[in-house]
Amino acid sequence: MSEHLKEEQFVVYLDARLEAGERAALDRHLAACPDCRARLDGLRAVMGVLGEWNAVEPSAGFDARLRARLAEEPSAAQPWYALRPAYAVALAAAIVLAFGLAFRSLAPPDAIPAPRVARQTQPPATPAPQQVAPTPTPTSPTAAQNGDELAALDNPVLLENYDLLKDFDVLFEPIAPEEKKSL
Amino acid sequence: MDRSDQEWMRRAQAGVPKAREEAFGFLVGKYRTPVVHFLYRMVHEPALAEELAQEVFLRVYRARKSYRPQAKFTTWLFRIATNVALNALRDGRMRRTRETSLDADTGQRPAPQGPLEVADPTGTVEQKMIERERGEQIRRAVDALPEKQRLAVLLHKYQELDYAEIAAILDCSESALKSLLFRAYETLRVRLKPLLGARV
Repeated sequence: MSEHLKEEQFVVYLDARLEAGERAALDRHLAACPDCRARLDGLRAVMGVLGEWNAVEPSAGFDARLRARLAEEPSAAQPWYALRPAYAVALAAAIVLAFGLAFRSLAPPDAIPAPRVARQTQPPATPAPQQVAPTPTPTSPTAAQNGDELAALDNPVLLENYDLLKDFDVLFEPIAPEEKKSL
Repeated sequence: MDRSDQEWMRRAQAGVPKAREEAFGFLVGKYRTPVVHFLYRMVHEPALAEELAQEVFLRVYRARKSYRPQAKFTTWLFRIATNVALNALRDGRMRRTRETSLDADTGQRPAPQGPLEVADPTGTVEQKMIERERGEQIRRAVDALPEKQRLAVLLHKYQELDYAEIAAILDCSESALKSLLFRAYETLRVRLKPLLGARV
């Protein structure tokens, strides 16, 4: 073999990863070529010297620290909301709010209860200037005929939260009749 | 041996927590030191190298489902380690750690090259200083190589990965890698001539 060694052959030769036939051919060339031999010796020397650069060892607490960090990792078997309860609460609240807004925007105007302000503009049957705590408004005959839901509209606190309460009725367990009466 | 790594990874991918932890623990135990060594030679900071090694194993754990057994585990592992090291070097984490590591490094590490080492059971203090100085010269010479050459040398000389693995990590052909290694070692031969002495 008269050709000089190619760049990619030097390192492979030094790593002894050549096939026997190729190695024998390179050996023949090296025996006759001082330039390639000198280059090869230089590379062998520098690869040997590089071995003098030592690295640090991992500290004794490496595994313990890694275990602690892994313990904080979410497990693939758990859904994300199981790991972050706050996310689940926030999601539930967002759903309730979205339902409420959708109900308000989609429902026909007459389905939305009359505003409380309008009710308050009606003159009271008897003036009560000394009243401190709100007293339940007596149920009107119409409301009584239409059941508890309309009766609840006469309660100012319930009326204010009517939309939300209605959505809760849809989303959660229906309120027992005895409990409804107490409202 | 590498087939064994793939089997461990398969177990680490399993949904059974105990098997997963056992398999992952085996892989950490086997590759903890090579990964720390590689990262130390990349960033030269013991505390940062260890922090980055933790990050590498966390990434391996998080991405375990995406591992395909067709690829060698070490190729995958050192590709992650390479990315983590390069990111750290580029975002300047090395400088920040250097500024704080004197106070923050609480790891109980046997430091073979630590500047505070006093006991010298293997040789004289003078010999130790010479070795340390030679190590520092080598570090500077390797560090001055272009990034790809530096990575190729670290993965070839110190991690002893095969050509196909290094080529996959560096995203080049095997032939290009061999030329890259040749040029890197040639550059090092010139820069480290004073250390080669009678070897050349």
